[in-house]
Amino acid sequence: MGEGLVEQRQADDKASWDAYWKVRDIDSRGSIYPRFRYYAHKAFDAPATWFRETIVQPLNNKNRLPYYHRQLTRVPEIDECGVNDKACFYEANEQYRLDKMVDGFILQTLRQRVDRCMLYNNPDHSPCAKVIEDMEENELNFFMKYGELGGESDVRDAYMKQKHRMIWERRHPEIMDERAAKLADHKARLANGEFDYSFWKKGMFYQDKKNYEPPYEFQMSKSALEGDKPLSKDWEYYKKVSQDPEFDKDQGKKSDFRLF
Amino acid sequence: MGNQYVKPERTGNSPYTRSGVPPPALVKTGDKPLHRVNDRMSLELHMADERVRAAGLSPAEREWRKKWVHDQHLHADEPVVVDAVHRQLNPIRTAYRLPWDKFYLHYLKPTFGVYYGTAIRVTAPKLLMAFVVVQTAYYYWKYEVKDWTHLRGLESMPQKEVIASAPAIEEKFPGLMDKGLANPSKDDYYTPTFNKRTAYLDVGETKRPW
Repeated sequence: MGEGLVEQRQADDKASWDAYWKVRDIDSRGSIYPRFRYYAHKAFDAPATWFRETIVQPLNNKNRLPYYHRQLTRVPEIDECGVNDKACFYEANEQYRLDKMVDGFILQTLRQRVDRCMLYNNPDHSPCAKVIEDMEENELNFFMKYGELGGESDVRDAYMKQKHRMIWERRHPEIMDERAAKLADHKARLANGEFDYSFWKKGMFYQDKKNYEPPYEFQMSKSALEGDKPLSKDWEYYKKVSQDPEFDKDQGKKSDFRLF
Repeated sequence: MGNQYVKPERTGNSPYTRSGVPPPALVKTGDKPLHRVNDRMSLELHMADERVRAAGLSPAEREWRKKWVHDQHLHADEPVVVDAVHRQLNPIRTAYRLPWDKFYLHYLKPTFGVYYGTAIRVTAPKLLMAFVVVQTAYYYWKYEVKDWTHLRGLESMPQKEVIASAPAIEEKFPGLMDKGLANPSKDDYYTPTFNKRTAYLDVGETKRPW
């Protein structure tokens, strides 16, 4: 399958370039500067194209090596390790690091999609709603597992975070139900073509809640590379919230920012 | 003895010399026609006359001076230019300069002259090298793009081409513009080379539990 597929890909690429030059040719007929630009661009492009198609591609096709996809095995998770089993913990931690790296690459790919979409469709970003939705959802999931743990976190920290989140969800079922209802409503409106960016982020990227810095810490408490900051504010803020009903009624839960 | 100041005896009333004797006249005035150039700054003066210059010489010295004067008349083939005397190059430098030396000697110098021939010889290789460098950069930009299999390469964002006669082209050649022009949405905004991959088409169920 590889041999025929490689030739097919190369033929498709060449057909695409031929179509491009044909469009340029037809579009620039009857004009002066665009026609000159077409000739200049084609003349400038000719040596590199000739070199690629005459010298490089035959060599590459002759010397191409097969591509094998490696099937990596997974080790037992941290929840299957014994309390004093250091070897099992070490393996689980290495697996955690690899998973974090792969998840980071996935998120990076999704962010690149958003960048390409926004760049191409500037200034109207409405065709990018689906792409942005995918990126924001995956970013939230990434944050739920790896966020706010710092650069030196290990698998036990992530495990404890998951445990604490499960306990919190069990203790507050009404909040979780409301969140599920809002998510379903957001998905339904997205299917109807209505995208609400403030569902994910309430303002600009620098106003994201996960980028907050508490006022009682005067030094960077986390690594700047991680981009994670504490979500909570100081105790005086919460005391004032509980005592004064008019103080900060929104609490960062509403936004009038519109992406498009 | 040499440091003592000696004032000559004043014998005349000329204001241009210390002794008062007037300086010699360079050009004699009168009715006689002037056969000499009126050059008051000439350093030769009367010595331009060969007889005056040879006055007082012995016969042997006269013969010597006559020989020297005749030596100043060169043959048409003189001076003989020996390039090896002025360009003493080792064999390696001689070897790699041989092509341009031959080309310069037989074509550039006879055709364009010494100055422009040398200018062409200096400029042409530089232009060739610049062309190769620019074409290499363009080749890397066009073909060695960033891929999903490696981290090297450049990724450039395609610009939206402004096609003036888009409706006519679409009517005459349906699908040509969509095929030829770059559009990231065709690849669902993934990197373009990912959809053109020839491997990793179906790896089955992933082992990641989430």
